[in-house]
Amino acid sequence: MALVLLTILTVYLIIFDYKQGLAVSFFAGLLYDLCSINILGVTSVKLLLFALIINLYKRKFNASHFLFSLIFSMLIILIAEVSLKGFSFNPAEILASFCFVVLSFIIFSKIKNAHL
Amino acid sequence: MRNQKSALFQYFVLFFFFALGIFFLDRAGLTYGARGFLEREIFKLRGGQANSEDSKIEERAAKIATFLEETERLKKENETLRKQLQAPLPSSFEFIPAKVVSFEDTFEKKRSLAIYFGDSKEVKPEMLVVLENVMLGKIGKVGASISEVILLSDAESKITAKTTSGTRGLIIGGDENPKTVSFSRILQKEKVEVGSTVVTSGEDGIAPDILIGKVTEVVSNDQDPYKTAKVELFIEPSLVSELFIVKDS
Repeated sequence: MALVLLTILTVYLIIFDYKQGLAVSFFAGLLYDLCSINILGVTSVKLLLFALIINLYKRKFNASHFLFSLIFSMLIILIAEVSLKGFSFNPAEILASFCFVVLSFIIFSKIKNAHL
Repeated sequence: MRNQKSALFQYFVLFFFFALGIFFLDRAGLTYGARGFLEREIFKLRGGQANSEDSKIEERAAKIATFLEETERLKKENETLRKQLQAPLPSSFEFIPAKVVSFEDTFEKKRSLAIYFGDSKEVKPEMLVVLENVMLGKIGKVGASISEVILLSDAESKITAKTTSGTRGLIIGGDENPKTVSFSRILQKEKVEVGSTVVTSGEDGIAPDILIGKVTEVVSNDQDPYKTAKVELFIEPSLVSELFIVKDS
């Protein structure tokens, strides 16, 4: 669940602007804490820091280009996974993140284009 | 560019302090009511049926078209409760009934159950979780209405146990198979046979003689000071729908 949340959120943060990204990180964190019986706010704080880092660095590349987004997302997810859980190579998890990055990119790009 | 960066930091600080505020409120237990409500809603969304004390659930129950289905469910619940009360456990035990919301078995062999226990305020971490007189695990994290049960097969679970013949050892989770656990740290001179029943030893703050499982295999190397056995759990947690939290008075 954490991996799915992290993957979708990363792509969302890359595609949408920082205001929406920070709000989504905040509420996604609260919902995650509620579902996983954590103290409310812990995951929100972590995800907000995560969102801040992504927003600071995403201007350094072309965020609308799929390949850049894919590499950047996978790198960020890997760093977040290692820092949260320690390194454990799980091919199923890596494949799942890859699929979710591709899927989220297609969905969020279509949503953004529809709004423009 | 600089304006955008400073606006980003402003929004970040706003949400960050909001999250911190919620964190401290929750730690102080001031969000108990709202959290309980949300957890009940999550439980309902996951297809569960909360306690009949809840008036909204009573309304929902009244709308159930098939009376037979409801009767069947109640019969099953009564049967589980009757079996639990007849189980040979100490009379000091009080039971808090709970329903299983979900079963988790991750790649890292983190095995747990999420359970819904209603409005009880007596559920605390480390409490024993049983079904009849069989141990399933211990309470982990506790919310207002939902809590986590760390199963015996979880990679970090360790409890002292013994066979009915008195051989002592340590039950350690983390096996590939979620239905089995390792019974290790058994002295070479001690006797363990396939088919022996393993029960709690009465240490670690857990009452003695609560059933765990049955020995299916013994692995022994004469050069090692200890031998190990494989124990098949009496209850497969993924198939459990109702269980009981033990409050030892």
